[in-house]
Amino acid sequence: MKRTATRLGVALAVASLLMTGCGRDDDNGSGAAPGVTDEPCPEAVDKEKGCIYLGVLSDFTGVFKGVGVPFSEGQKAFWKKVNEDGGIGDYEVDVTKYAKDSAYDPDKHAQLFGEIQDDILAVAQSLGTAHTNAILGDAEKEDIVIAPASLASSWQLVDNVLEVGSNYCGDAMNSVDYAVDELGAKGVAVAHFPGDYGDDAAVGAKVAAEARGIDFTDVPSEPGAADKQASVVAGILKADPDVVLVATGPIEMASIVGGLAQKGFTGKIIGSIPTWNIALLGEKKLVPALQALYLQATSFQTWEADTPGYEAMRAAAGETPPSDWYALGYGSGYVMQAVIEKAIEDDDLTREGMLNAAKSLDGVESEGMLPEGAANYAGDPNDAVIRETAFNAVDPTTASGVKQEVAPFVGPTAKDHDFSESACYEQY
Amino acid sequence: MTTPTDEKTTSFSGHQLEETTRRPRRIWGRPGLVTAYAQDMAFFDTRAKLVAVCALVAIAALMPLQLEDDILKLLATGFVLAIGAIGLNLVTGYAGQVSLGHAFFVGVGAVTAAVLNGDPDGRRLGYGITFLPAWMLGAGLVAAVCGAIVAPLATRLRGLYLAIVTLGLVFIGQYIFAEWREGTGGRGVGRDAAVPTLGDVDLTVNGAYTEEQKLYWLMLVILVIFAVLARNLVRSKVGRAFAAVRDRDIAAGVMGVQLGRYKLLAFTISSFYAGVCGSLLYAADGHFSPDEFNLGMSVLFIAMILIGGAGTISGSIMGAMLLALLPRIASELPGFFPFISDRSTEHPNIFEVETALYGVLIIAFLLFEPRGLYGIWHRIRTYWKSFPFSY
Amino acid sequence: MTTLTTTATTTLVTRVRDRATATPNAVAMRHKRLGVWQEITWATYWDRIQTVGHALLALGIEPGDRVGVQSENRPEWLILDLATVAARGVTVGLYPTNPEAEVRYLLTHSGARIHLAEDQEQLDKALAAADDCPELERIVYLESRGIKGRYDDPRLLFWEDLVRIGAEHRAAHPDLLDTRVAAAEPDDIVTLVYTSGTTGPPKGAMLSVGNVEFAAETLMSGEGAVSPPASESDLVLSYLPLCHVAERFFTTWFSAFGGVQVNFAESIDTVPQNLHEVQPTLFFAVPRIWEKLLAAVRIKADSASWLKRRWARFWLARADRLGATLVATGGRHTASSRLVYAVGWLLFYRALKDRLGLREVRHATCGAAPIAPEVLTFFMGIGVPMHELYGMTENTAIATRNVDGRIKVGTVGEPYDGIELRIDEESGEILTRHGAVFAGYWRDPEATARTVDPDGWLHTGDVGEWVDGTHVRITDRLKDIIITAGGKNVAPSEIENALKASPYIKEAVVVGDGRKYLTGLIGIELDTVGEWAQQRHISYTTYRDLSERPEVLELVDGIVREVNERFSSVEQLKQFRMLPKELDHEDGELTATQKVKRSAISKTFGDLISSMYGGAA
Repeated sequence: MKRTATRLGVALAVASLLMTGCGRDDDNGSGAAPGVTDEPCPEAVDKEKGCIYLGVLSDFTGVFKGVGVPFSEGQKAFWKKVNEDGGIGDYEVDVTKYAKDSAYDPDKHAQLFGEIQDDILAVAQSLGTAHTNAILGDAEKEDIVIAPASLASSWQLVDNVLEVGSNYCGDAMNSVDYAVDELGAKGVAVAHFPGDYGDDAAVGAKVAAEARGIDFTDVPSEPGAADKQASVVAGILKADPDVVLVATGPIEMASIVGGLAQKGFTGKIIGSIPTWNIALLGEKKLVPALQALYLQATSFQTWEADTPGYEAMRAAAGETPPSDWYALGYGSGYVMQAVIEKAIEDDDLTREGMLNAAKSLDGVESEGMLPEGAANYAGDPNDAVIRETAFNAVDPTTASGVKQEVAPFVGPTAKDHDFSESACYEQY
Repeated sequence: MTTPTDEKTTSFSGHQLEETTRRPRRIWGRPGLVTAYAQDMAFFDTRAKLVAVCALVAIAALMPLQLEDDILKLLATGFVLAIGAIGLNLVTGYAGQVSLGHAFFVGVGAVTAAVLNGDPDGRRLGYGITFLPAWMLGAGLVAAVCGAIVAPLATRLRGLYLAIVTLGLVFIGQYIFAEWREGTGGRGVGRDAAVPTLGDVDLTVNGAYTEEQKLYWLMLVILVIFAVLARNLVRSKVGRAFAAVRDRDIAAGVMGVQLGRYKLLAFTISSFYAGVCGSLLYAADGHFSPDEFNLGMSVLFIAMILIGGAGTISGSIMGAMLLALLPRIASELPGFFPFISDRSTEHPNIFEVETALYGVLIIAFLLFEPRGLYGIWHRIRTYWKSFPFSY
Repeated sequence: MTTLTTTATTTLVTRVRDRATATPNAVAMRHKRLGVWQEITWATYWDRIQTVGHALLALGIEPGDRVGVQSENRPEWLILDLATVAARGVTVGLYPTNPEAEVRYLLTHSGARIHLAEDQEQLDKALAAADDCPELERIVYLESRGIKGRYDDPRLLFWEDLVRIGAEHRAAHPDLLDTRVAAAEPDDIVTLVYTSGTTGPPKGAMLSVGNVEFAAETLMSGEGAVSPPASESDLVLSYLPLCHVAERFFTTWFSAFGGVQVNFAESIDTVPQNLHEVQPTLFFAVPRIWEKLLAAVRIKADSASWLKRRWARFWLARADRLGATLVATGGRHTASSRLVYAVGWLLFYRALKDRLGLREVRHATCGAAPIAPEVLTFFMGIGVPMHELYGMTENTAIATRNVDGRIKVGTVGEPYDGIELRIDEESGEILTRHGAVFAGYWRDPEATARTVDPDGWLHTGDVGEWVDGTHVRITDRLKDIIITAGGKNVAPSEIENALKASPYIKEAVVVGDGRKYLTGLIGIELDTVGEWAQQRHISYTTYRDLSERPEVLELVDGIVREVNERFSSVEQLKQFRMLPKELDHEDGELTATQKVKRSAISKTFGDLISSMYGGAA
């Protein structure tokens, strides 16, 4: 036994020598912080500058590829413009090297975040609410700032998430208020995906419905085309509401609108940014129904908006099909850019520096890309929340297929709602 | 003149000659000269085996100093899957009870661990138990109880019928997991997995060693412990009873093996392993949703033991490691076969190849090497054992 | 433990007793039961001998009484043997293969009072013969399967009951056996060894305490049979019949005198497996076994996968050269051959020897029958130190042996130091005279007088000649020498052994006494020829069918031609015929030691023989 032990000891010693001799690459690049290097970016404009790597966790193949692809394209266009204009300080910014496809699966999302988390300074896009929640714990531990491609009502509660625009919950409240005040609705139904995104809208609608004393019907939906939505349509018809709120993907929304129109539904069907995709205009049979029934609740402007930011964006987009998500991706860049600039100004281009910069941000000059009051992270969460909602109607003549129908307003429910307690979806 | 000896004391082979005044020992250089039953059944019946296994574990333990984090993470996941695969092999490979419900028990383990470990003030149900063995074993125990509840089915059903019934378990499980949002977070959302901490050290945060290194070591240690336990189990009376039930349960019953008891035991232990596997499986990602515990996962575990080798512990580990590394292997393919793309928008791409590989592997192993990776290893060993002849 | 009583005469028993006192916990023997080699220590061994010895006393065994044993090799064989010696009785060993008729003859002739029959098979033979043996009082059996509850013969006694009787007797008269042991005389007969009897009925050679002591002293001396002498660290595998003097030496007496660890093979069929497990350091085998081992190597190497086959052929070719070198140097490596062997050991020979179970063999011995030099050369080439030796029952196996470094292949070596050996000038017969020359044939003074002349010279019956004045070469049995019609003396065994060196030939019987030319009866080796036939897609049904296939005839014809080339024309086989059946002990064609009974052969296959002489005889 002793002999074996000795032999084993020698073998171990030799093995460890061999292994440490040609050990693994343990340094985190030449820069000071993870995701920041002195080496130029892979597609650098100016090879003299260093590179800041931002992670992208998006959906290129799943239910929300219609969101993820244009959002990412918009971001790329934004940063390309920034880099061409001289970058930020001594750095350029890269959002392509660590772009991953989570296919709208929270587990995959968390797994991919694990893969890239050591190589990035911040996350420029994390698509999906549950998905972002799935990585939030790890990100908080490592002070990683996340810009979500999600408008959940929880982000203002978290320091390291850079939310922009109104949230689904507030939009839903305003939708209900609008339905009651302007359409005289007596009942509302909500068709929504399971999970945080759908629940957020459902809770917003429920809170508003209760406040306004109208009937509320909850109709759960799930990803899938007409066959999966048949029961949803049936559920809605059974409740017979005047207004239907939809918090699903575009295909599901279209199926619901089509189904309801077929059955002679005449109320309004109100969706949000994620429920619209210009590709739906290709469904010629559906267009009249969409035009008649569909409204899109949003706090952002439409593609044709006449602001310097939108103008620059349209120029950058070129032939790219118009998309709200492209605009949102492009617009969200302003916030991240401001945070990085602040961190460099504070001479602390680290994750911690980024977080501090984000916390102290009380607004951003977005050249009209973002709603009024966006990116106020310094203030009280409840005050900083954007409560405005506008409604767009379908208009095939416009570039993005929608045109503003109702100007931005704040309904009574949203105005009084306290968003600093907890996220709406948690109350589902 | 003489009284005949009592029949009980006379075995067929005659009589006892030797007295146990002396502890039998090995004779140097003669591994075949087994002088005690204990030697024959020993964990390492030859010195070469002991040395080889120690060396293998030592090399595995040194790997994190050598390999990159992304591979370490895959290997660590492979280790955890191996625990689950060992569990399934105990019930299916050893005791012969086909189970398609393994994903359910893994899910029970994952949820239990997350609930036990979860933040009491958090969004989901949580009891804030940070002591790793507590929530890990707790997850195993809850899963084992579920297994014990299901086991009586196995005493009534066999083969295909049992497989179908356990399949039903997966669907029931999916429903329960989806509906119990307090515990699981619900479909499409999920919840944070149990966070492995040792003392004050959170293993999922980079420190002196990276998250992947620490998790790798943790999983390696746990796998070694559970593999040794399983190996000991199968070389014991229980293991032999399992094999007897597998080979012919009626014959086993006639020989005095209590079928009900051993099938219960097999399911319980298997579920325990599955529960432990589930409790650790999402430690690296930090998040899971109940959609994970579907038929696909059950099939994945079945594939592991088929590819690795049914009825072997080492085979379970080999199969789990191979399938854990399969995505990585597939992603290396474009380098060798330029027509395979690494983008999901082009065809054929690595994701399709990975899925196809998975199927091809199962078919190829069943056709050409039914004893799995273990069988291949066995062949190699036999080649050298029979050297310089072929038999 | 008994107190050490000094006796005038050292016997096997006192040696075992002394060893049990000195190293009580050392391993005396191992036997395999339920897959595990059970160890028996010297203390247990001695304790059992005493108990069984007491049982023999209780059953009334007096000095000179015979105790029969018909069993496979197992610890009880040795225990009963030594217990008998302790009681000053005489052990009579029977081959397990002895058929009923021979059992009857041996039991009647020896007049055994107690007989040990291993199992039901042996017991049935003994019981059938028992009524013709008035002196037989008790039949002890070891395996109760099929016996207990079915047989009610009052003479039957189960071994456990025998042990119990012994224990009771021992408790009642603790010193009785010691007294008997102490009374032993050098002239006490310890065993009757029945010669195999190739001609006529077996004769029982009486070996005395003095014979065994002298023989053992000679074997264990510096340049004895094994050098350095057998010791406690040696292992042997006991698998040949213990009633033969050679196996008795290698098992019982090596154990008692040298303390070697005896390992009992499970059965003759499992010898290859048991050899592999035990890896003995000393290995004795008769030529037939060596031939089979050689055939196994050739067949297995040829049927191995491509790479292994090439590899094996390459190294076996080297081994042939190494063997030739060793034959030339008398068994000593030259610098270059040592180097080649060292490399070969690492890459091939070690594994080969391990598979054969010869890896640890430091001294391999061949004897009891003539062997072809090719076989010896092969084993020397792969690194098994082969030594041919010569001896016979009547001189307690003491005559000549080859000594390391002075090995001459084809000879049986040099006479031991301290013995007398000469070759009669006239007849060429080998004569020996020493302290191990037997005490005579049991109840056959006439045969004794024919074998030992008044001067004390033992006539071995073997014809031999001196080689280089130091080594002895055996030509043949005196009785087997063929004198052809032309008056030429031919030793058939040389031709037969040359034929049997081929892996395909199991038996070869040369005939031609008083005839114009020599012919042969040839029996194929079923395993190897069967394999050979299978590879060539030759289908066959029975042994006889296979033997008579034209392809097989061609194969054998080729071997015969090849062998003929090595002999002068008078010694060449002009014709041969295939034996239509495998020769068998039961049918009286072979002796228990697998030696051919020529008289029986010429009677059974008379028509075959006469057909080779054109029906002239």
